[in-house]
Amino acid sequence: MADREMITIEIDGKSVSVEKDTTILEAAQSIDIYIPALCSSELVEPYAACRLCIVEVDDGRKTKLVTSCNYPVRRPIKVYTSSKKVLRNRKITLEMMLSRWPNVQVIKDLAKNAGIEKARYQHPAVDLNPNACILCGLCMRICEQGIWENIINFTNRGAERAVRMPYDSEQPHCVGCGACAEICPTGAITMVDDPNQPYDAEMIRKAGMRITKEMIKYDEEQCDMRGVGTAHLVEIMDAYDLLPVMNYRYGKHEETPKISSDIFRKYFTKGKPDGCWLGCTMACAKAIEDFELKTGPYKGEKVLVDGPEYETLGGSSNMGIFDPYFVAEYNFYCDTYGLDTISFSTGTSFVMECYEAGVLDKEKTGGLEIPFGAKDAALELLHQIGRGEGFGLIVGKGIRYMKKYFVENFGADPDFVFDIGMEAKGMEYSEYVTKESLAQQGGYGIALKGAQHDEAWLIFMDMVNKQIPTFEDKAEALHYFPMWRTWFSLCGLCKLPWNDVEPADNAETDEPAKVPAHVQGYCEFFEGVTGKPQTMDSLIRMSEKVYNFQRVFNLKMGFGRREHDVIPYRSAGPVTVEEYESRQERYDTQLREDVGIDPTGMSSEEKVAATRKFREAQYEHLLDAVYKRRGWTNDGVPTVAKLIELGVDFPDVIELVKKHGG
Amino acid sequence: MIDIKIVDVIIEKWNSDPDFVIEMMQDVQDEFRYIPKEALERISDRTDKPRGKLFHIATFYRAFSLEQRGEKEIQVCMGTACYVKGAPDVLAALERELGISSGETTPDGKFTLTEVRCLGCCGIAPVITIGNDVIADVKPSQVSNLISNYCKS
Amino acid sequence: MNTNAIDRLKTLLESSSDDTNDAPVILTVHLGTCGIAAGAGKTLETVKTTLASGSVQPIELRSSSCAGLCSYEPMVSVSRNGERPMMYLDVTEDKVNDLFDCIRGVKTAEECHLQIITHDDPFYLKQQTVVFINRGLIDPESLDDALASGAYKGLASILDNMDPAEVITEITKSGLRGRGGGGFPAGVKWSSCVSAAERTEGIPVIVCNADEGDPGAYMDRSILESDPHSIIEGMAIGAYAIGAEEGYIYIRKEYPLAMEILENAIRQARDRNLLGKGLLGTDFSFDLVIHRGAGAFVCGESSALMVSMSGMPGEPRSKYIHTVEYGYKGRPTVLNNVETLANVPRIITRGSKWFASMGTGDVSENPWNGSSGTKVFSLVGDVKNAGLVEIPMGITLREIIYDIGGGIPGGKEFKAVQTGGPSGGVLPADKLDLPVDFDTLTDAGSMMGSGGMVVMDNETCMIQIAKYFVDFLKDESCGKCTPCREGLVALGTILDRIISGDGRQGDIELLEEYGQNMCETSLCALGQTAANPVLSTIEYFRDEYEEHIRDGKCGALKCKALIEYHINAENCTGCTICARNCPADAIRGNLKEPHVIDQEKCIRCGVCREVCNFNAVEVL
Repeated sequence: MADREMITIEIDGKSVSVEKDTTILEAAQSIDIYIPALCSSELVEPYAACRLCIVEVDDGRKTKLVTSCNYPVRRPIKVYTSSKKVLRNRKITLEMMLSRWPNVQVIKDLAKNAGIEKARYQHPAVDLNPNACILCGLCMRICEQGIWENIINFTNRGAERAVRMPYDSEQPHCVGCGACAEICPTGAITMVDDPNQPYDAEMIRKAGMRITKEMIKYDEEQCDMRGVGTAHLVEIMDAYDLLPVMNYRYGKHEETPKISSDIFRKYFTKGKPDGCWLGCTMACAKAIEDFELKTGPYKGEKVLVDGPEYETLGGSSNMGIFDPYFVAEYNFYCDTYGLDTISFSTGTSFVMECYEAGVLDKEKTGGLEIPFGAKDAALELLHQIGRGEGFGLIVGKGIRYMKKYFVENFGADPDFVFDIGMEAKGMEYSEYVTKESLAQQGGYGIALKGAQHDEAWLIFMDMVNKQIPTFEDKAEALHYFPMWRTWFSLCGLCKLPWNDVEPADNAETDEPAKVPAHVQGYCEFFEGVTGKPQTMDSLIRMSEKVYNFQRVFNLKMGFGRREHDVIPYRSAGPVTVEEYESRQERYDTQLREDVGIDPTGMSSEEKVAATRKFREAQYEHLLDAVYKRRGWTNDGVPTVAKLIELGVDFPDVIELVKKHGG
Repeated sequence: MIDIKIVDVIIEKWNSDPDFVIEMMQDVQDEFRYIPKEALERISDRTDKPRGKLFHIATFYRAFSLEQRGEKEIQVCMGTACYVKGAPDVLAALERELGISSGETTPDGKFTLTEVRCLGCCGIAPVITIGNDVIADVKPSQVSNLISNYCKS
Repeated sequence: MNTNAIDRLKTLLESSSDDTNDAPVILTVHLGTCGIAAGAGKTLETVKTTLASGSVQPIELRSSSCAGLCSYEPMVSVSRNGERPMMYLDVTEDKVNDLFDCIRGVKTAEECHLQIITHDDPFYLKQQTVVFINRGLIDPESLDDALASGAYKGLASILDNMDPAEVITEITKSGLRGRGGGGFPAGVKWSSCVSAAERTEGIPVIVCNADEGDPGAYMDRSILESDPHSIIEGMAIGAYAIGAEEGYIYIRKEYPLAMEILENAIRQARDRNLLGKGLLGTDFSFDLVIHRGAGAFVCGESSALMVSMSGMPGEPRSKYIHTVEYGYKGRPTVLNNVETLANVPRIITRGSKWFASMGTGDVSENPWNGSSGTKVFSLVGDVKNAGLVEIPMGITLREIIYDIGGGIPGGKEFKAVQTGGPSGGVLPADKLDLPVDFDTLTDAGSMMGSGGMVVMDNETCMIQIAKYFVDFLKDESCGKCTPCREGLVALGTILDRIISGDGRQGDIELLEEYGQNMCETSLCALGQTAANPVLSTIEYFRDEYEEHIRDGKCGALKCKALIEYHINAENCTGCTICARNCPADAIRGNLKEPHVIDQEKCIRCGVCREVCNFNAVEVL
């Protein structure tokens, strides 16, 4: 973006250079000149209602009084914040306010500063309440602009103007987010606490309000979660070669802009909070209204599509399909059939690669021609899964089942299908390419419930920001983050407000990836509910107990050992020559620098093999380090000592881990 | 309870267009002689205009009322010309005659008495309207007869 | 550039149904809102019945709009053999027979007690009709009538012969300034909208402000009721000039007849390709949408009007960025008032020079240099001939009030004239010789505003008038900004105590101080001018304020707390009419004996004085 035009103005004799269209109030604040302003807040648009922030402006032609909160600087002007005229008028305005609200502290203070103690007329509707509403409109503006609601609003007009709820009745839409009460300068709005009777409601509200403020101030420039939800990740992942394309072979595609968030921004219902639950200020659950379906049982009907979110979009590129209408359609039908878009798209990507590789053909699929990009066939397959018939009956059972089935019934090469069938512990991979992030390979592979990024998402820390270079660093991250994320599940909380909006100074903290200020907020939240003070460590400790217990449960069910933490090689490195050659320069460099082999003169097959050998060994090293950090045996089994330390040393638990060498 | 279908017909007439909520509410007011809560909520749901906004509208514009107005509305024009020509005395006479204050409705629900800022009939001031009839050059002493005529009709 | 719009219009005109017959007498009943209120509808019905009975000679019956002389409604014009019509005044239904007698020459007008006025009467003679050129002459519901009178010729000619920039230049050169109150040159507004649209890449819209809000002004209603096509044509020309394809008309709901006529006119224009896609066969498209106001004076303010048009409460915003740049839905927007737009087609057809030749100043180089053209005033209040008068700018208040208005009725004296509505002020007798134009009235502490002109006689209390406007605005203020919302309460509180005899020394200065603050710091024009009626009454009638405060006296005998009603025993005949009419039962006395008012019971409603036939009730 081009640099904004800068304009130098003079305020009370001091020069200041500001961007064009900065308000005078902002300009004055930037050089510590105080101007009283009752109805102004950085959280909402200027309103210019209280008229206390008046200043005198000399634009070279004439001098005039303007409100500094909304007067845009567009040419070099001279501003006087305390001229005679300003002070005289401000004083009278305050006198009028004082006459109506003689006991409101903020008005009393300002009036006193202006030299008035008592008004010279008796207001016919004088309000003696010290917490009277002074009609600044901050509450209704934060409700509208900050929360995207309009629960609280002005009513009536003129001298009768007042802030009220519609028909003075409780509004089902109001979720008690508390923003209006928080921003009210007089305490006119009070919160009535819910019957759950938390230990310290105020503490919870304060913690919540910090997130709300960050959302209002930073979301649009940070992740724009309220604008497009997680869809904003599509273009970011593509830019970092992390967007899965054609069953995770590649990480970007020239057609990605066709399914980027900018496209969906147009379709998403706008201007309305759309959270999973009412009152979420992040409100990232987007929807497309009136979408006309082209296939399936509801063909021709206009429906509401709940989404798409990032995973659904990444799933589409994974199938090699770059068509927003397809995305909306498969999103709708997955929801309708009770399917997960990740499992469907990753599973179908596998089918497509098998089809292209000759493992499948039209006969085996029951007539479906389904190479990458075959959107009609993909939808047909989806409907078959939904109906539980034909080829869909096989695909619907997941990749682990398909691998076995294709080997046993279609004579597929077991090595090939195991390399490219993207699942771990039977669960399909979610939509990130992990090849270049060893830590994330661990994040998927070691995760208790299968290849799900919801335990750890370390790609950026690992490969973009290079914050965890050593095995020990990676192991530490693979300890902390899965525990931290488990904590959300323990409390039934959503993780997105933790790091999809961040304080402005987060990057300057010691551990920005942890978002320390937000961790502190969750400590307060927990304390506010239970009355028990918490620290970052104590929260992690809560998770650790559960996490280890879960691992033991996995063990009991036959999924809890090192052999179960294996990953398909596609998630660690290039399986095919074609894949290798598409990023040849990168892989050659790695061979030379990380592996210590000179790739010159080697065939691509040899290079694939050498890379694979190295990367598989790296993964094993990683497992060693992680198990060690977690207090597990080298086979990935929690030790008795660890279980005793955590207080989950129940007799049958101990017996089980002992049997497995723990 | 109101017949919500009537509200739906009104909303449809304006194509559920949020730009025309004021028009919809005028039609609702004409139909029910007030803005029922259910109607306001219906308009909100169908046009995506928040209830808070609609309630502000309902209390901001003088065309609307939250209490049901009488079968006939008597508007006393309080434009400058009417004022100069004695409208306040006409209003006072009407208040006495009907036993209510400006803005109120008679207990039998027949009349609502309101002031209106200017009907644009300044040449024949003072003017009042009863229902759709505009009555010119009204004198306080005529008020009693006027009202009894309308009671009869 | 297109070259066939004029031909198309000619074809339209030729295809008009020609239903004029050759009846020697044409009788027109004037059916404006005021006329109907005075009984014109019933008059028309009676005329129809009489004609149907066949008892009179062939007469062509027409209906048309208001003829401007509202205090004598219902009016009927009669034109013989194409001569200029004679207008019969106060033709209520019971006088229809008399009217026919006059037409037949059976009786004279005098014999039937029918008053007649012609266009040579002083009421009309000093007027100069530009926007009202068709009033009372054409049927506002007939597009054919409008076309025959030259409607849409201006539009056709610019479509064929002028590019948008030339149209703007022509309007700028005419000196046409906004008739809604601001007096901003229309051409300059159009041209800034064009540059704002270029700068912001916005698509402009044109909006007609028909939310005529000033109490005491009703010319816009009358224009819409009498010549709706002039507004449609004016907007189409404006749209062509600024590059708009969408137009909106914001009209107040208190004008049901105007709305009906306008809706009808829009339908007709659409049917005949004068609105819609490709006007008159050219590639210029333009259409109109009507929005109905719902009763809020503040919606006459441009930014409030525009948010109200989007279905919002009409709250103004600061206009540091003007509506020509950021208006309706954030788009570059031209907002013109009804009367301004009605002038546009006339200027196009007759030329900017012709328009500039009327009025004051030389506006050919700079539209701010004077006030060209005519202005319609609603001349109302304590004046004999109340009605709508269109006069060239620059004639004096005295000419308007005395020559056209016929002076003050009832043998009373002129005291003041209020112009400009609640934003304006009152002017006393020594200002009667001021020429009426934008700048002179503003300099005198009032303003032309939209053209309300309320004449007040010596029985008017100026403090009551000030209080009236303060109360009006207190109710109409949106309440957003402190000085307007609270300032009006402050002014009202102080005026109240003056009126009830509790005024204090220093109250006048306090009113001035608060008033000044409101002018200087309110958010929108409503608040910035809200104190004008108070400040101008103080300026010209300070004595009266002082009299109230110092002596507890109301010279005009209007402030109820300061007056008493008494019955003069010498004049009282004991007819009992006052006692019978007294709503407070405060009058005692026997038949044929002087009556007495019980001051304890008296509510000072003035009914006794109104009904007394012997001038026996006095106010002290």
